[in-house]
Amino acid sequence: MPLRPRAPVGWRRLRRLRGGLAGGAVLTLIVAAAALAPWVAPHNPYVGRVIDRLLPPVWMDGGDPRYPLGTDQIGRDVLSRLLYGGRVSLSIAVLAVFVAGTVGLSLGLLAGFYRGRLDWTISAAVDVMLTFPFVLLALATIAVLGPSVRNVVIVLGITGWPIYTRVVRAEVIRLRALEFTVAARAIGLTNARLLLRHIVPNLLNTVIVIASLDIARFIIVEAFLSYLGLGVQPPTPSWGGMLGDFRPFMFDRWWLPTFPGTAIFVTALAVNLVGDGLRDYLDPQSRTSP
Amino acid sequence: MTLTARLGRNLVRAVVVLFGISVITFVLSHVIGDPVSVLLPLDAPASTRASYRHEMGLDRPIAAQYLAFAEDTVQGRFGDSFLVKKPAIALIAERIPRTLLLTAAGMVIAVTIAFPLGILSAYRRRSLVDSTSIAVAVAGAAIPIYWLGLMLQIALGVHLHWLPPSGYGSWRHLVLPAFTLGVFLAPVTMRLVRSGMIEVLNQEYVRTARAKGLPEGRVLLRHAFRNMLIPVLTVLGLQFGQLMGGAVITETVFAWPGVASLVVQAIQSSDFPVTQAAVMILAVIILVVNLSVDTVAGTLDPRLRA
Amino acid sequence: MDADTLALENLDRWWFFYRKGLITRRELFQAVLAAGSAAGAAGLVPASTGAPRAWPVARAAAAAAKDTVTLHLNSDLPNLDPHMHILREEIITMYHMFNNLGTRDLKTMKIGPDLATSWKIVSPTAWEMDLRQGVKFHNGDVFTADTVKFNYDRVLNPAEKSPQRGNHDAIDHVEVLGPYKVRIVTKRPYPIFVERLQNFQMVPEKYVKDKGDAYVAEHPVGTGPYKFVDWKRGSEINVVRNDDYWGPKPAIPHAKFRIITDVATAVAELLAGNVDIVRYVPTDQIATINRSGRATAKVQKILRVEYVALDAAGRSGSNPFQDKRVRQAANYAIDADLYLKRLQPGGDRTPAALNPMHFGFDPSIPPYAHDPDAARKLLAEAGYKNGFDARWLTSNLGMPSYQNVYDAMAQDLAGAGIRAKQQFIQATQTLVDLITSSKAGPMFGFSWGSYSVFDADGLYWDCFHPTSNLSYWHHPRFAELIEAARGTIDPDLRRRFYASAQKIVHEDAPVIFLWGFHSVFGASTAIDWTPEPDEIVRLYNVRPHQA
Repeated sequence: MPLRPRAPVGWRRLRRLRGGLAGGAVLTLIVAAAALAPWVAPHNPYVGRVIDRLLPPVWMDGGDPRYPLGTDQIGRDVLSRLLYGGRVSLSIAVLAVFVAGTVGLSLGLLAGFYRGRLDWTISAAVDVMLTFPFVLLALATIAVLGPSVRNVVIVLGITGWPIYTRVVRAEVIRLRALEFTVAARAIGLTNARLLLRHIVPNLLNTVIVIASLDIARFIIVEAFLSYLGLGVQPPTPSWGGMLGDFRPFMFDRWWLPTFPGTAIFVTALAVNLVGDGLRDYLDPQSRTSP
Repeated sequence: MTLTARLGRNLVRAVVVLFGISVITFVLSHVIGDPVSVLLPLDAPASTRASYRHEMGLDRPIAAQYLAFAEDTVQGRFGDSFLVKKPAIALIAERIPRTLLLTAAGMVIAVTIAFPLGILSAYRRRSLVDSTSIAVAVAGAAIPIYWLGLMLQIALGVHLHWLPPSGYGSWRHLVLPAFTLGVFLAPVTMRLVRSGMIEVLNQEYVRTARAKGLPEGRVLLRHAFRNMLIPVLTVLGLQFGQLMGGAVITETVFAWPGVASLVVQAIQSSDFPVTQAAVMILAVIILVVNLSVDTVAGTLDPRLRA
Repeated sequence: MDADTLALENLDRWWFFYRKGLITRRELFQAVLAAGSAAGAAGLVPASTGAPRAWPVARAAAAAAKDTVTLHLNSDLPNLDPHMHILREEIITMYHMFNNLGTRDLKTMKIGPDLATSWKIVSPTAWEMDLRQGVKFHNGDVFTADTVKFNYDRVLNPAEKSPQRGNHDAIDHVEVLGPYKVRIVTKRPYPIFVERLQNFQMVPEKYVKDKGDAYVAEHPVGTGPYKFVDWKRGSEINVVRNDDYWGPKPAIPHAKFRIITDVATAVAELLAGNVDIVRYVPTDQIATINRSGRATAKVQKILRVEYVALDAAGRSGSNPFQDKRVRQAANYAIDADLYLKRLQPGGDRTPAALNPMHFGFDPSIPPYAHDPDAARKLLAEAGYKNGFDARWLTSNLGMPSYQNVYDAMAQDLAGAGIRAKQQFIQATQTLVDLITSSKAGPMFGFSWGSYSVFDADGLYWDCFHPTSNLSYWHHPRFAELIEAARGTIDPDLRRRFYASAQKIVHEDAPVIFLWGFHSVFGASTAIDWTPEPDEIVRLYNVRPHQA
């Protein structure tokens, strides 16, 4: 059984996590809606009738009950695109976090555990990545690979891993020095076993917290990439892409950008609350920065 | 480790980082596009293209080009912009102060928003204030700059005519972009301040101060706040590198003629000298900032030494 | 001498040289195009709001309030040297501070006098030009024949590396015949010499020699209606009225060119009253601008047309579009009229790819109707009952709000069975490279401005003749017809040839026919201005609006 210096779970602690629970509930709703989009969405998000373009939401003058949230510039249903777009944006964020987290965790482990030249190289790489302007890297990567969902995930993964490495490395160094490591070695555990069964579980908490916050961040970064024209390509919907497309409509059809904007905001908020809750639950005396 | 030794080690590290960045920048900018296509009209004959390419030195093998680039960079010679026929450094030097002004102003606004909120919510954890601040922080992080920027432009610039929607020249032109950038920076800062304060407030010496019967205000200010500052400032300094992303959009949306928008333009027109020069100069600035912050913080608080 | 007279006189001379066997029929033909093509267009090129302004504009009585007129540019200029750029934005800016030897008369669309008062072709490879006297540069230097020689030498000098050198490549050298007379000798008969006159600004010789290119690139000195004041790089360029101008002086004393890359910001500035003219307004903002009460959207027909080329000749390999029925099906599948009505600020349908403004356009050919059933039937006949997939290369080719149109087209094509997958190419040059190297099939977008030649030849030859590397269609009978049309200058005969050619193009459908563009500008209600048919905004023609 892995040794974990943790306080026991109590009812009191759970009650303090109501923020996290609320966030979790909202998030579950959003994820469910997105996942069930093919069954829930009233229309095909890729096809619109140009005749029906730019209809306002149903509660406004000129609205049409067939299109509850109105239509976009070539007549596609906004609600359907919002649901399918959620699938795209959320899966990009989750996948990218998975890539960044896995790479970052591994490199951080290697650097912190084995130290020496390996550590030095990896840390230098982390410094390089953190100093390099994100925009240039994103532009260049997409220019080479071409814009697509897959390549957006790659860009986010490439730019996201350094944070994990840095944090994990620091934790591993600290844990290495702790008593239980010394004790484990004394009873003859190999390096690999030590790593896997004892150190990694202690790290996972940290990584999970950072990852959950990164999900929110990546949704927003995807929006940024779409604004620059480097994100998901038409006609595939994504929240960031829709927000960018609808920006000129701010002048007089303000509801259009409000919908994806609100979706992004609510999701980011929910993810943040869950992340905070996770951190409070797993690690009340948190040493890691939020 | 002595101060000099630490400085020395950090310096070596910085040089290695710069080298890595130079390689990546060089490769990326050459891979992104072909400046000859941008500079000549679409129907230029192949012979003209070939001669332009030769004049620019673009037909040499890529390793040779990199070596020439590295050699020149170390001496600070980035060459002339392909587009403008002026030294790349001059173009960048002209625009960096404007970006620095914008980011400084943005930081000031971010701090003004973030510190009070962060301290307050740390102090009154789990209260309504705390939850609201978190929501505000997330809102600030979730609203894209280009959206907030346009909303402000429309509301304050078009409808109310209080401020110019874009441009550069007077303090009035600075307000909207600085505010937008500040809102972009505030959430992270607020979270940092909040968690920094929380940690500090739980420390022994704070409890001791309280136990001694010191008034609450004094406890907050003299002990908690000062000790919280160092780690917060450290991370803030490290955030400086992240500012570029925010600056790029802010400068584009508000037509602010700074170095961030110059870089994007240079990338889009395959202007290698400007792209490379801008990235290297910015990298140096960031590294210097990081280095100073690290050293100062390490000197003041031994716990933070790497 | 005015533009019409100049054109006719020179045309006579070309005809003379041809009869003497000194030039080929092809060269004569080009001369005809250059001189006469615009004549056909003149009647068809009205601005959509009000009559076009002829140049020059009479000086308006001063309207006190408006002191500065501001034009929006969507990117910064690399320099302010008129010989060292290839940007339309810079052409526009340079037009205000410099003059050209000739300039376009906006009513007749022909090239008329500017710094040169007349020109005549004296031999197939030599022109003689009389220059305007009494013209001074902003710094006091005098404009003479030496100036003209200096300018041509400068742009042709390989050491100067001017990107415009290719434009004047046919010119061999310039001889000074007198203080205000030059002879320009060309390497070969060069009929479009006259067209080129309107885009070659004159710089002062002594100033450039004394100060050097680098200085001149940031401190322009010309002979134009406005004088340079300052350039805040990345931000704006300011100019002030030249009160010693030799021509009619601008009505508004100051002009400003503001650089705003983000189009939503530019529209916001227009509505806030800080910018007077915005170019390339997105279609969906037209209503917003018109509703605002502070600006109106002005639409201008332009010669540029767009179509989606289909690989009929199989240059990129075998593909379904080699079958005529499939190509026709593609045309039936789309609903161009609907797109024009809903997604575009108008446009002129091009049933055989020609713009109605091209000489030779046959209005009796009906464009393809929207008929998805016919499309599906044709596809089935051709053996594609279940449709097929096709890669579609797209780029920003100048169409307003193009992405909306492409998305709508992709939908409609897919509905008929042609599942076109868009692949957007950022740099137009890359697309052109793919096209010329036969790699752009089976579908690619393309647009053509005909180099401002308002004649069917200006499009048909370069885009559809089998020998052109832009053409993915080989039709021998069509080739014969347009070659025949080139071989005569009889306009009625040419019209007949082109009518037959258009019927072939329409029926064989080598492309999905789209339309000729309407360009949209946003203009403040504080000014009176009509968009120029040649897309060069002239702030010196703008007058403050009298309430």
